[in-house]
Amino acid sequence: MESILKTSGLTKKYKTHTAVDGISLSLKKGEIYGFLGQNGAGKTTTIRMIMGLIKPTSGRIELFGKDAESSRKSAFERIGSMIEIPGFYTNLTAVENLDIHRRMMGMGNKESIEESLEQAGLLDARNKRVKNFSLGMKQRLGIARALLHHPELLILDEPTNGLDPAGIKEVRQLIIDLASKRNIAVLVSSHILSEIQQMATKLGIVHRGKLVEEIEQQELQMKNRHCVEFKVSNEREAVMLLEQKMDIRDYSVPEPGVIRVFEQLSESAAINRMLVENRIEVAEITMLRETLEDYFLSLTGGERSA
Amino acid sequence: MLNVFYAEILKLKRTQLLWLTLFGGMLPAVLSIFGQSRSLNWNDFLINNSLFLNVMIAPLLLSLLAGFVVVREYGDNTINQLFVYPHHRVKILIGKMIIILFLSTAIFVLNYALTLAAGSIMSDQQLSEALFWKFTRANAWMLAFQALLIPVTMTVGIIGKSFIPPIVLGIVAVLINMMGMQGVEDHIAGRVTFVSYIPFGSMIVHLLDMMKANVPDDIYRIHALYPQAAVFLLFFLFNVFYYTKSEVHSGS
Repeated sequence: MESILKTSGLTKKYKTHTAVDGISLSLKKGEIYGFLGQNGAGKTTTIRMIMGLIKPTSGRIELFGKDAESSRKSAFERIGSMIEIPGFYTNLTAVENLDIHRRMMGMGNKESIEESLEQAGLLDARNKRVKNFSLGMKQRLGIARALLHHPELLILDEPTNGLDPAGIKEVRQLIIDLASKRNIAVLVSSHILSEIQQMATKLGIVHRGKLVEEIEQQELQMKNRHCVEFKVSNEREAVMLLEQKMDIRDYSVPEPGVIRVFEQLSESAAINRMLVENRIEVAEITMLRETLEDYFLSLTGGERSA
Repeated sequence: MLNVFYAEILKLKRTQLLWLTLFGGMLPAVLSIFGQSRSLNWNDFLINNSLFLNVMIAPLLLSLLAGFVVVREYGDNTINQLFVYPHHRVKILIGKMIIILFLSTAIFVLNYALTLAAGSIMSDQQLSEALFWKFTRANAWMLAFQALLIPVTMTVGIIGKSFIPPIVLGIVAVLINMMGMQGVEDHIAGRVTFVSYIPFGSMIVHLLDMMKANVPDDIYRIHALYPQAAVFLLFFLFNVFYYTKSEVHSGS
């Protein structure tokens, strides 16, 4: 399937530091790419480069299969974006702000304004001036604006900033629905791991300007599971015994002599007894509770801001 | 382009800019009325109005208008969105220039219409056709000169990203204008020559020459169109370059 968005070796250097260092990512239709990193990791700079607000020092950006530099105008007609805290003309109402957007996007249809306001849960505040909006309402209006012209690619930078828990849940569900029902590709950045892991189909962890890890959804779930780790004398024989004697199929062998069992966790004593009875030495049994958060912290050097 | 222009008009809704436009058009006319004795002299009345407008009010007000149109995009953080629309940034820049021209024209037309209306009510004499066309021509020239200065006021707004630089520019323009006016009234040849080379001041020398014919022919000066057109071209090109090439970072 053709990539909607593809970056190759995207780099932004300033005099004294490198804000983004060779980021390569790709996004296909219906995917939700979670761009995760601490504050200042380079997420917004990457998004700004994709949107043409910052010129990359090196690297290439492709939008809808074409070089972004030469096809920006046509590509921007198909992209909805919200970068950081969205700005609005505060003297105008929500509808008037969206009407400006509609005109700038060259859309004739006014009905889409009501539709996008409804999607963002702002229909009741449509005639309220933006200067009276809370931060959360502005975020919602930013999402409504990004959706107004029915984009094929949605780029949302920290979309849940300022939202209450119910609002966060609504926005998360909206993003999931847009990707699954309308087949929209979504690039969503956040510094909050728990928020992004619930919606992303692919997760890119960025740290100090570098994409340090890309994880698919299945892998994501694996990283977030509990298991019992057995250090054994013979792992080949041990896994055979696990399958035959205890019908355990969900396990992994991360390194020689180590087995991680992901099912029947309460039966660790029985597993141990069975192994010992079958002449497998068990040197150590550990309950591992590694979460994605622990994994993220290990990748980012344990700096706790995400 | 029409959509870009219409969007710029929509942005002005409920702003104080429209009140300022009204105020800018009315104030010179009101000040000129106070300067008249019981019997209104059309020539003096129209001269006073033009001087109030072009020497003091227009430079400050138009700087403020241009500053608002450009700077608010940075202040309201709408620049992020503005630059990701599928329009070339030059088109957006021209849209803003047109809206400033539109407001400037509104001020000049409103002012002239109010002045003529007030004069007609207050004066026993009828405005002669010759005087009417003389001042219509002078006002048209002044509007054209002011329009040529729009890119200058936009530049200071774009670079400064704050309302202060356009206001400072407006104050500097008033000072140059007063220097030019003083030079003409006191027949200081060197100053008139110098000011005729400076944008803002050169148009005041031109205005005084048109209205009062009191700039002696023996004082060397260049036509106001040259410095004004030169700065228009220079600053317009600079704005195109800056708008096209500038990066928009967080907080910029």
